Amino acid sequence: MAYLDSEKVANLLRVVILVLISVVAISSRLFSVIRFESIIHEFDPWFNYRTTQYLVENGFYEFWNWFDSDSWYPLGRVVGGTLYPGIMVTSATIYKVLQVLGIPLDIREVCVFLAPVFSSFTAIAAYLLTNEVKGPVAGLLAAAFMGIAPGYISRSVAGSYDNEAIAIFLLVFTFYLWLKSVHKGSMLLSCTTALFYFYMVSAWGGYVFIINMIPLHVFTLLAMGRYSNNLYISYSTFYVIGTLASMQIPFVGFQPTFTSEHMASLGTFGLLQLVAFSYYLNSLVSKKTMHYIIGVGFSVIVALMGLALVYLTMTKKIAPWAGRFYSMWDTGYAKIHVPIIASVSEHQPTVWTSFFMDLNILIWLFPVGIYFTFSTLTDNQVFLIIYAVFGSYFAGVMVRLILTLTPIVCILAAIGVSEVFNVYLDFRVDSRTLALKQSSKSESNKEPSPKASSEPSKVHKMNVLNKLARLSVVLGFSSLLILFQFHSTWVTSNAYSSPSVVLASSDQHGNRNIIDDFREGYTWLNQNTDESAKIMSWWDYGYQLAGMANRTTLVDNNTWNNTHIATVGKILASNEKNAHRLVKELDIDYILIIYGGMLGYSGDDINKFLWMIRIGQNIYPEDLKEELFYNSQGQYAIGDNASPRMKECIMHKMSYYRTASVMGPNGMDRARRQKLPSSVTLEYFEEVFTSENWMVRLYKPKDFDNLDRLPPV
Amino acid sequence: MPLFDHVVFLCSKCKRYGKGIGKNEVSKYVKAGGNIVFGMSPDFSVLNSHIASEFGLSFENLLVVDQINYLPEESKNDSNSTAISPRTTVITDNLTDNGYILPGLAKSKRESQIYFRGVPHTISRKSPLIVNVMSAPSTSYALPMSSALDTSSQGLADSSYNGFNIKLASVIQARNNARAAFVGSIDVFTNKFLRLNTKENVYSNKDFIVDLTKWTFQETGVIKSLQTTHHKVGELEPLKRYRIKDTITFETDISLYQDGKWVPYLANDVQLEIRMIDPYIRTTLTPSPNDQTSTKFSKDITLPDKYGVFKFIVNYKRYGLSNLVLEKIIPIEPLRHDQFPRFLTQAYPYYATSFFLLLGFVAICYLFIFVPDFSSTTTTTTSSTATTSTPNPTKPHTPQQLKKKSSKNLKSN
Repeated sequence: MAYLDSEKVANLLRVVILVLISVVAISSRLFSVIRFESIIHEFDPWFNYRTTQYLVENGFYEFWNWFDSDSWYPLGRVVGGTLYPGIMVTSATIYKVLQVLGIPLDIREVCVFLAPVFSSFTAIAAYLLTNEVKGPVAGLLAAAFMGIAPGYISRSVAGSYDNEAIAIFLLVFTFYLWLKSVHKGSMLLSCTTALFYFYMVSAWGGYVFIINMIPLHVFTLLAMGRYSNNLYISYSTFYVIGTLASMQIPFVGFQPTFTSEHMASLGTFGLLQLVAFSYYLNSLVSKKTMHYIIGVGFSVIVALMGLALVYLTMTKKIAPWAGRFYSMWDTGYAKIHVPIIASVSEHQPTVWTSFFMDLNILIWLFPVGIYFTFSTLTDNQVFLIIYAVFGSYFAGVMVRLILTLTPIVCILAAIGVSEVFNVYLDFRVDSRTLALKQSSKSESNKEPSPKASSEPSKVHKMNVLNKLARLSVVLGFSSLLILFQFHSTWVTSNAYSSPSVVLASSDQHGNRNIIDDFREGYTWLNQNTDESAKIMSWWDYGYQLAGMANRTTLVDNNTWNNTHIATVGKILASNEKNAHRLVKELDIDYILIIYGGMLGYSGDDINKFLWMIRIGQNIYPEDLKEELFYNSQGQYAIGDNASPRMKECIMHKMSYYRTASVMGPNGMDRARRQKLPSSVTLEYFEEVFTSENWMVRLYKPKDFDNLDRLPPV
Repeated sequence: MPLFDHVVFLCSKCKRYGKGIGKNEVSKYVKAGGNIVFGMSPDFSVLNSHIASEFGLSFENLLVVDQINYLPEESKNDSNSTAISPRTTVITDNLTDNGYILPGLAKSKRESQIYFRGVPHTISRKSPLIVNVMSAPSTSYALPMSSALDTSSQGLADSSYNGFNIKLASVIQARNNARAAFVGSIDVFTNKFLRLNTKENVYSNKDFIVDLTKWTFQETGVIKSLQTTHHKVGELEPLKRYRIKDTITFETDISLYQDGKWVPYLANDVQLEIRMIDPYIRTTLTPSPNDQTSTKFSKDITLPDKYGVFKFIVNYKRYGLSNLVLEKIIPIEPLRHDQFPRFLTQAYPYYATSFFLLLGFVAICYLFIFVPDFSSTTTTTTSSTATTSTPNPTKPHTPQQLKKKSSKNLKSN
C-alpha cells in the first residue's frame, strides 16, 4: 500500500473541502430560484440588469456614454458617469465568454446566478486571507462561515444582482492581497492589490472602506513603531497606482483628490514618506541631531498639514463629507437633515436582534478571535483588529453595513474556533506539548481523524477525565457549528429569499399563493400605453418600472436629485387641483400607486407617505407640513377620522378610491388595521388599472378641459 | 368626426332638442371638432341656459334697454304718452377690435352701429378661451323681463348689468380649436335686423353677423403649420438627439386661411421655447417667405450647455386665431468621452513635466547601466555628474531619489 505524503493529503483535503464549501455556498443561495423562478430581485438589481442588457446589446462605448433620457424625466441621467460599472462589465464578460464557448445562456441567467458564484469566490478569498494570517485550519473554517453566514447571504442570493454581489469578494480579496504584499514587501503584489482595488472601485461605493482601512493599518503600524521597507513599498505602490486607477471610473473622477473620505489615505501617504525619510536620515546623522530634527521638523510639518487641511475644508476646497457619511458618525443626522437617506430602511441603525439573526454564534465567537489575535500581534493581525473595530462600529450605525462586518466576523470567529480545536481536538498529544508545537503542525481537517499524522510513537496516554473533557468541548462546539448551519439555512430560506417582485402568501390550509401584482401592473403598462408615456411613482419603483414596463420614469432608486424627488412627494401630497397642474406641467401620463390595504402588504405607499411628506417638506417647506397630515388626536389616520389635508391629497385619494365599495361599509384596511374612508372621490384623475389584489393602481390625469371647466369633464 | 361641421342653435325657447341631445352632447360635439352658433332670446329655456353655462356664460332673464342709444322707430310707440317706455333695441358700437374675429371692422376702420335686441350675459368662467366680442353702450342697463316694458322700472344695482359691462355677444375657442359663438339675441339673425343699416361707411349688423359666423365656422382666423423641422447647421436631416452646445436650425412654416385658400402668415411674434421644467432659451423666430401658401419661421440656435430631455415648444396662442402648439421632445446629450478637447492649453506645463520625467528616467537608467562609477559613487559626485549631464533644472533631485530607492531595495533584500 503506497504511503501518501501527509502534506499532499492535506492539500488534497483542503481543495476538496473548499470545493464542498463552494457548492454549499452556491446551493444555499438558490432558494428563491427554486421557489419562484429565475428572476431579478428587488429594486436596484433591476437597474443593474437593465444596464447590463444595454451593455450587451450596444457594446462598451455606448454603455460608457449612455445618456438615459427615459429616467429622471425631464432631467435625464448620464448613466455611464453615475454608476459603478463593475458588475455589469463582469456579467457581460462572463456572458461573452460563455457565448464564445458555445454555451447560449441568457444574460438574465448570468445576472441571476452571478451573486451565488461570487459568494463561493468570497469563501475562497476568506480562506486565503485567514490562511495568510493564521493558518489553514482557521482558513477553512473562515471559508465555511463565509459561505453560509446569513449576513452575507442577505445580499447575495440568486437574483440579488447588486453591486455587493461581487464587491464583498473584492473587498476580502483586496485585503488578502494587501496583507500578503505587506508581508512580502513585493511591488508586484501591491500592484495586484491596487488592481483589485480598482476593480472594487468600479464595483461598489464601499471601496471607501478599503481606502480608509489600509491607510489606517499603515498608520497604526507606524504609530506602533513597526515601520518597515516592506510597508513603505507596498503602501506607496498601492496608493499611487490604486488612486490613479480609481480616478478612471467616471463616477469617482477627481474625488480622491478633494473629498474628505479620501484624505486619510493621502495624509498617510505623506506621513509614510516623512517616516521613510527620517529613517533614511537616521542612517546618515547621529542620534542626537536626529532627535532634534524629528522633534522640530515633524511637529512643524504635521502642524502645517493639519492647518492646510482645516483651511481647505473651511474654504470648501475639500468637499465636505457626503450626507451618508455624516450619518456614519451621528446617527440622528440623516433624520434631521437628509430625510431621503433616513427613509431607506437599510440606512437605519442596527438593532441587536439583527446582529444575532445575521451572524448567530459568530457574534460571540468574534471576540474570542480578537483575543487570540491580540495574543500574537503580527502586522497582519493588527489589520484584523482594526478591521474588526471599524467594521463593528459601522455595522452598528447602519443595518446594511453588517455586510462589511460579516467577513471579519467570519475570519475572527474561525480563528477563535480553530484555536479551540487546536487545543481540544488532538486526543493523542498532551496539551502541554501541543501548546509548544501548535503553530508548526499542519492541521488539515476538523474531523477527529488520525490519518493526518503518522507519528504513533509520540502519543501519550491521557487520563480518561482529560479525554472526556476534550470530547465534551469538541462535541459542544461541533453541535454549535451544526446548529449554525441550520440557523443559516433557516434564515436564508425565510428572510432573504423573497424576490420582493413576486410575493408569496399562504392561506389557513397552508397552500401557497403567488402574488404577482407588480408584474401584472408593469406588464399592463408595457402592453397598453404609448412607448413614450411618462409614469410617475414614488422613487422606490423607478428601477422596476424602467426594467419591467420599459417606460419613462420621473424618479428612481438612484436618488441623485433630491429636488426632483421632493417634487414628486409634493405632487402626491397635494390636493387634486394643484397636483393636476403639476402633473400636467411635468408631462406625466400615468401615476402608479402601490396599495397594500387589500392584502395586508405593509410596504405600500401610504406607509411610506410620511417620508414623502418629509422629503418634500425639506425642499418645499411652505407647501408641505408634516403636522397637517396628523388628525386632531395626533394620529396618522387614514379613515374618516383622518386630517382634512390627508383626505384631500391625491395619495390618499388614489389609494382608497373605490376601496369602500369593494370592502363594504365596514371594510378594513388590512395593512394598517383601520377602518376605510367611506367615500373617496376623484375629479381630476381617472383610474385606468388596478391589479388583481389591488396592489398596483394606475391613474391617469384628465386632459385640460376643452372648455376650461373645472374639474375637467 | 361629427356628422355636421357646424350647428346653429336658434331655438331659444326649446326645452329639448330631440332625443339624447343635452348639454353634455353639445360639449362633446364641440370636443369632436364641431362649431356652434348660439342665439338666445329673453324667453330662453333652462336647457339652453345650461348649455351656455357649459361654455362659461351665464344668461339671465333680463332685457337690455337703453334710453339714449336706441332704434329710432321705437320712439313712435310712446308718442301719445307722457312716460317714456324703455327702448329695447339698443345701438352699440362697443365691439372687439380683434382683427381676426371681426376683420371687416378692423380693416376698414369704419364706425360701427349694431342694433341689438335681446338678453345680456355675464362671463362666469375666468378663462382665456372666452372672448367678449360685443357689449352694450355705456348708457344701457338691464331689466327683468317682467318689468322691462313697465315705464317706471329702474335698472338693477348689479354693476355687471349696467353700461358696457353688459355683454351682448361672446365667442369661445375651445382647446381643440372648435369655436362657439353666443349672441344674446335671435333677432339679430333675422332679415329685419340684417337690413337695418345699409349705409356704406358704417359697420352694420350684416357685416357683424357675417364676420362672426365666418370666424365661428373656421373661415377666418385659422392658422396651421404643416412642417416643423430641426437640424444641425450645415446638415439637413433632423437628429433624434443633439449634444450640448450644438448649433441647430429650427424652422416651422405657418399658413393662414384666408378667403378660401391658404396664404403665408405674417407675424414677428412667433417664439420658440426650449425648456426643461424651466425655459432655457426663448427666442423669436425670424419670418422669411417660403412659398405661395406659407411663411417660414426659423432661427439658428446654440443649444444650452445643459443636458436633459428638452421640450421644443412653439406655443402660439393669439386671441381670434386658432391655437398653434408645436411640441417636440428632444434629448440633449452630454459630450461623449472622445468629444472632449484632447489637449488643454493651460495644462501644457503638466504635459511637459511628464515628458521630462520620462526623459529623466531614461537618462538615469542609461547612467546606471552604462557608466560604471555611477552606482558606487557618493552623493556629492553623483549630483555633480547629474548636473553636468542634464541641463534640465528638475534633474538634480532625481539621482538622489533614485539612490534612496536603491539603498532601500538593498535593505529590503
